[in-house]
Amino acid sequence: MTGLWYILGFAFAGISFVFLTIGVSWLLSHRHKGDRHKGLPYESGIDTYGDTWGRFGLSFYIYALLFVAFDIEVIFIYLWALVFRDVLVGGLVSMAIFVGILLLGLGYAWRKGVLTWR
Amino acid sequence: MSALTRPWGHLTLAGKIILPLVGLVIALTLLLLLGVATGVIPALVLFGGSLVGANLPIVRFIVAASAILLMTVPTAFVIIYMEMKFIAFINMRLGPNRIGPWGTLQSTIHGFKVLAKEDFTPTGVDVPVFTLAPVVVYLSAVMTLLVLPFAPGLVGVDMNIGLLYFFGIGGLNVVGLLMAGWSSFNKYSLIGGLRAAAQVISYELPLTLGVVGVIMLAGTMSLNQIVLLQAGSFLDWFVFQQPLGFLIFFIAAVAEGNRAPFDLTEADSEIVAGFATEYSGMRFGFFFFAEYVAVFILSGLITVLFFGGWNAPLDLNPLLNWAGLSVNTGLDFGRLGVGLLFLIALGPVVGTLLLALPFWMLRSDWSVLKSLVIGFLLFNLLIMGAVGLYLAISFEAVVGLFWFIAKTYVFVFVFVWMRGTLPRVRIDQLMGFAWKWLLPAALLNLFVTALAVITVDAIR
Amino acid sequence: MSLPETVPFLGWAWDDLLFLFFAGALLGTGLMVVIGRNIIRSGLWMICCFGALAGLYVLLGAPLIAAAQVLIYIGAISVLVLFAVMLTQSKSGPVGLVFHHQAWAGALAALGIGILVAVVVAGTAWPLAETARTPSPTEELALLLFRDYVLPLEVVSVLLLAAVIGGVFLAKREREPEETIVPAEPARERMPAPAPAVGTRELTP
Repeated sequence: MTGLWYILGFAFAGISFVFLTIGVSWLLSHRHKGDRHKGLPYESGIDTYGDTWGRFGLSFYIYALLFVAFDIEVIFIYLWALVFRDVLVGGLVSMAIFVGILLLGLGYAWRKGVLTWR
Repeated sequence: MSALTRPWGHLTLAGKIILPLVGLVIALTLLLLLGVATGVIPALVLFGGSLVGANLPIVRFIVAASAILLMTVPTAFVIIYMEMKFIAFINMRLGPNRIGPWGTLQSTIHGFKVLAKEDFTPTGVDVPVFTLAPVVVYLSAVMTLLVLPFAPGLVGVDMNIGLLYFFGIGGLNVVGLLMAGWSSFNKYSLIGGLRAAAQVISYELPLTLGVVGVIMLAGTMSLNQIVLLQAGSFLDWFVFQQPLGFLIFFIAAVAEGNRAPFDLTEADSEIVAGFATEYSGMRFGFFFFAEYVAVFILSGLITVLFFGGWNAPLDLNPLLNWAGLSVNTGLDFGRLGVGLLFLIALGPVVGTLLLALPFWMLRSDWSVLKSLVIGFLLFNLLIMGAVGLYLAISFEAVVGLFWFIAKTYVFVFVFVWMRGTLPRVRIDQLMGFAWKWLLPAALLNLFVTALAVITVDAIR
Repeated sequence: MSLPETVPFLGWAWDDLLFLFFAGALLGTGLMVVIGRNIIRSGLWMICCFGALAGLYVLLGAPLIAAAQVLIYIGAISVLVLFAVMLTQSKSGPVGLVFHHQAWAGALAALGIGILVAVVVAGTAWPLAETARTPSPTEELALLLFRDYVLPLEVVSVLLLAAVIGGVFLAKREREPEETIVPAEPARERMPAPAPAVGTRELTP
């Protein structure tokens, strides 16, 4: 499992690189607490109002849901592509059915208009 | 205390950087002299040599990891400079032209400027998440460099599921964007983060599906193997068998890197700076650092998958052999003996003088010093060229690296070119394009490739 | 002088250290998911938890499953969960999670399950494989999937289809009234509500 050691080591090196840089920046830069207005969220110059962590529209959610379904499909398609030369026509047919069934879902979403951003 | 801090406060930024460095250099020199005098350093060198010899894979990995991480810094600087200069030319402006020749050091100065800016944490943010978000975004970009084959033998880890690793780790930046958008406690940030995440996940499907044709043709997911399969002339590159796949992959890559015309995440006319609105200083810097590194990585992946990676467009070796130009690289400097010492000592001096002479003789208005400086620079250029040529002839990896970098920067240029030319798309066009055009096109490409493979196999 | 074959003083294989690291991370992050009060942070800890699980898969010799774990669980499902939480939460909503109100009952239930698991674990004879499992080649797995298990594969797609249709149906039903209000307007972000006379509301961190 040397690959895993390498990945972890590289992640560790990357994280230390980032925090070293941020640390150097912290040493070099000046810092001022400022008044109350400095810490306010930037909303084009006016003071903030309303709830920031509030509710948002559903359109984001439906893309994520579709993405989950198709991402699982992608894993299967990758495996299929990997061994395609061994399964040829039979593999093509089974994958066509697999993708076709999922495309029904995409078509339903399309028909219902959730693919159109609003 | 104030007697110490006041002069420090009066220093310019450059002084603040240089003064500690000078102190460090002096201290290191003293330590070195002391170490040599007491015999500690020679002993350490001997010990270290045996240590390195025994743990070669680990040492090799540490060197590679540091090289990859440090490589990202100049890469980002070069791409930022390219962007400033080329877009300036596209806009018929001059672009940066003050710092360094043709303004080449402008982006470096920008980088160091960001380092010295105040890194402010606004009120109400979720501090740990706020700080970790740029780390996640940067790491998700850089970790993918681990499987990218730069040249023969120059690949971090050659995994046989390399492509899946690449997309898996690369997909983590969605998490970073959401973290940044949510923790900032700012409405623009939240909308920007959600938008960015929706965009990235939508375009990740065409990105991953556009490659399936290549996997099918190559029969492997290891990036190294894919490059090896494209060896030969440029006609063996997968782009000629996968034109539609390449197109889909390229468009999706542009969107995945949040680049124009798909840079909705930082659409400053709509949502200020998107998820990065509340960021400042180095934490802000890392988002943009990550973006430019991602441009390089995506260009590199396009090169690897569709344009032959480190393979030269034409294999020149048969031609050279036919012309009888086989080069013997078994150069042995040790044979020169004392002559080597003279070469090292006298070579630069004689070379500089010889190169300075024509300038001094022909340009009567130049001073001796100026011609000497020019001669020295020219000599260095020549030596660098000679060394580069020697390396290129002796090591396959150097030529491979050259071709990889050259092809990659062609695509980096296209990225920059698109940013200078194309207007930003609207958000509904963006999402609709991903789901209604690219995804079906990618699936179509998949089945067309499958049919083609079956047909070709049947004919054979 | 190279690295010793095993961890000094302990005699473990080096990979055992990795296992300890990932198992510890898995338990720790899993605990953080349920004991945190901030639900988004719980979601982020869950991502760490998935990552540790992916590491365990690699240790078990299944890099493909690990890659799928990273790609699907972290890249897609966690994002879906984060989206859902970010889109539905609000300050006025329930901030404390359910088990914060029922801490005692939860602790009792956990204790019961813990004792049960301990009894079962202690009472089971664990058959150990004689030799370490070699990582199964990805190709072998793929061939199995597309030769012997084609039907389950198609069933998976039907399952995904059901998920998609259900999600779309729910999302659509909630948006129906809006559509009648804004019939054919080109898609663009709706303007925010006008600001109160003076933006005096205090910032609540």
